[in-house]
Amino acid sequence: MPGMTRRQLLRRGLTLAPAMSMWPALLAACGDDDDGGGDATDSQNAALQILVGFGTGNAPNQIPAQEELAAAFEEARGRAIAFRRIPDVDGQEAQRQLGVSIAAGNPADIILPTGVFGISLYLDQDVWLDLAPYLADADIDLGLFAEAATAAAKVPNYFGPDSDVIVGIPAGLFTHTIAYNKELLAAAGVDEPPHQWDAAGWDYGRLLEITKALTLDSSGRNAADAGFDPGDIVQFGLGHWDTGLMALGYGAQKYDPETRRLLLDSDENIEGTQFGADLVNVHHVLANDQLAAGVAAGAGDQPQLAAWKSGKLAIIDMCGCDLLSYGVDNDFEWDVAPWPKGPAKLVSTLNLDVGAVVAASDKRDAAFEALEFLLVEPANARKLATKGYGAMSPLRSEEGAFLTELESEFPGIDLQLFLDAFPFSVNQEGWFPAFTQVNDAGGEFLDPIALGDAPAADQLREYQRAAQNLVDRWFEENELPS
Amino acid sequence: MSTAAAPAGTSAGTAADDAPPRRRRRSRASRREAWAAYGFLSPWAIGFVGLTVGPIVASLVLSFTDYNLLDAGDTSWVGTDNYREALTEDRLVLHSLKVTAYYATLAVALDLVVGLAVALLLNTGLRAIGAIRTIYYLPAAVSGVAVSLLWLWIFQPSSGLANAMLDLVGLPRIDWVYSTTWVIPAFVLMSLWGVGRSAFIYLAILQRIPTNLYEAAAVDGAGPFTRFRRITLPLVTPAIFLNLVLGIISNFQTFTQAFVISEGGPANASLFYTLYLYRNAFRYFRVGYASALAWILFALLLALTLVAFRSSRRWVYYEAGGAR
Repeated sequence: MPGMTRRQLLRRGLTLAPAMSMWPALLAACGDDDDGGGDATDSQNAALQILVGFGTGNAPNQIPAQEELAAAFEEARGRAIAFRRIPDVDGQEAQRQLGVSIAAGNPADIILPTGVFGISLYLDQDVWLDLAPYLADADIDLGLFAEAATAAAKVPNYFGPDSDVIVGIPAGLFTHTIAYNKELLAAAGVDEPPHQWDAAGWDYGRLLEITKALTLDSSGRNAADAGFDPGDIVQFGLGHWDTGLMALGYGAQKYDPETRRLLLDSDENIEGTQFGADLVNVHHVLANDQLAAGVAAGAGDQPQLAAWKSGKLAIIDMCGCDLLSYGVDNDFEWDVAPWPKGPAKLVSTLNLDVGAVVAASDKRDAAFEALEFLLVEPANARKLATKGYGAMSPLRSEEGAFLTELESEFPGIDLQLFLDAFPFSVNQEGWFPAFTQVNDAGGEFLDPIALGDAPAADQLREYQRAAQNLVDRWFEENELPS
Repeated sequence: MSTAAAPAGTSAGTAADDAPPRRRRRSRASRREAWAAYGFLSPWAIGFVGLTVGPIVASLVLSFTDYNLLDAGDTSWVGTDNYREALTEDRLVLHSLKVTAYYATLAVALDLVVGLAVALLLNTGLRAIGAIRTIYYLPAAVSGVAVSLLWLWIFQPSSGLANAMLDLVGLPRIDWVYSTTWVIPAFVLMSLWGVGRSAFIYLAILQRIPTNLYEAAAVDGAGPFTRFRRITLPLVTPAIFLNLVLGIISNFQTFTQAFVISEGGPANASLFYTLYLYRNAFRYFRVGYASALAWILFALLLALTLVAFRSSRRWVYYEAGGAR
């Protein structure tokens, strides 16, 4: 450069660089350091932001009901609602965006819906607003909701069994049944499962028996036949099934809050987990994602859905949250039936979705007002639960609405079984210490079981050791609020 | 500008009393040019300092804190605790480093060999060689996420292209990215998708090798293999060295394919270092710890690069000064 030597240029550059590197810090220092705190800094007309992506709620036919209710809220209360939709199968992208947006000072005001799992991911990081004072001010009695729903939203493992803290207003309850392709059962000469919970003879053994008959290789042999080729399966008896849930029927539990110990290496968990893995690797009746993709051409990122819809899966787990995806536009006759009974007990899964307010929101009051409008006013809550999420409304007054709202969309389907499932359904997403890390660590130990590379007993003992270390460390660094 | 920038020698023979005004004009012009240069450089400089140097400095500072993305207000100085935890307590750090080193070793070696082979092919007088070169380079310009999704389909065990080809030659099928044994080899094969980048670096050197060297060797009776070993290979060593250094750096930062295809599985068999770093930053929100992981990676890459530079004195041949 004319007029300036290289040394001069370098010296100026070195002077300039540290000064300019300070600008992010300066910007941060000059930024708004308001910590939320009601609506003190809230623009009167700013739209409330609802993040949808922690679970269900983004299927195309779920969106209209949500949008209609948002429009109704704006008309009634004069404030718009904007949805931030992050369609993602496992919700991890939405979770990442929530964290980053909180750090950036621009979080969504409401997460709706989120399961208890999503709540648990952030529970010990003070992300969620305690809604108990707001509920008290609005004179809303929690007795309006099903007990199972409010119990889960109070997260007793963290806040303690006697705490009043509640971090979400129940938005939807999802029980599970199984769904079966009637045509495939008929073709295999298999009787349809009973339509009554806890029916005699409907257990894991019977499930294995009929799914063997329903699993076929390309030469038409089923999984119970001699000469069956497990490397060339064209139809599976079972799919879209979380093998980890099989352990529930053996009586397994994850965590004991009294002793502060995980129970991953219990005999019940080992037996149940091994049984689930054997369905894939020994009995060859259950399609994992990889196998489902193999029988469904063009499966994309939802191979189980593609396999079910193309008639390659005879029986699947049917969560209420899957009704509007797995239950619509099927070119075959299907119906639902209860879960089979395990060796220890009959138990199915209960998923609870809530609406939660982000504590860092600068529109907390308005956010609660929106949740009250959407989730407490009976007509709105019913519509959002059934049409928006395919769920049962957790409001006691709306228990029957699941049937009345959905029976026209699912003629001939035994939806009553979803309601009858409650006594046998347990929420499995409750918080325990180091929740995210323990769950993430699972892959290392559970994948070899699922792949048939290692026995459950060895792997789960290793998992218990590693995970308990994380739990113990959490207690060294943190305290329970209770 | 053109008059002001005229070389001083062009007017050296004019009267001495012309000198002061000429110096003044040159000085003003120089200042104007300097400011113009600053003006043109400033967008880049601001971006570089604000978006690169700033975050680098910030990450170094954060690596000595317990900064949590969700709880920034409670950040405190922890000294070297993050580094100590990463190097002595966190077994996944060592595991992810092993996974990454395994992948990088295979991927760099394959890239060096296949890249050179492709470059030699592209350096021949084939017809439509321009179109062929473009085709080879195109994949390097495609988005990593799109490429990952494409390869996910290729590696699908039941209906993917890779196993269809194995079927054709009568080899047993492989579970590829669903297998703890094969997931890394699968990613290594996938890395060949970007071999056009290194091939083009080789090609630039190959085209500068004087043909008279080959002609003289042929006259002396050297066959094709000898000519390759005695002429081509020594003269492309600068390109091999460049590709080696670039390959080490880029392959140790492999992230996209594991993030999109395997999420680190199965059983953490593809838990690359940067994926684990990402988990700490954006899943556990431990940005202070993740920053320490980033600086450990930087130190490791710096050390590997220095080793590569030091070893290059023995095997890299520069035409001007021989091997150095």
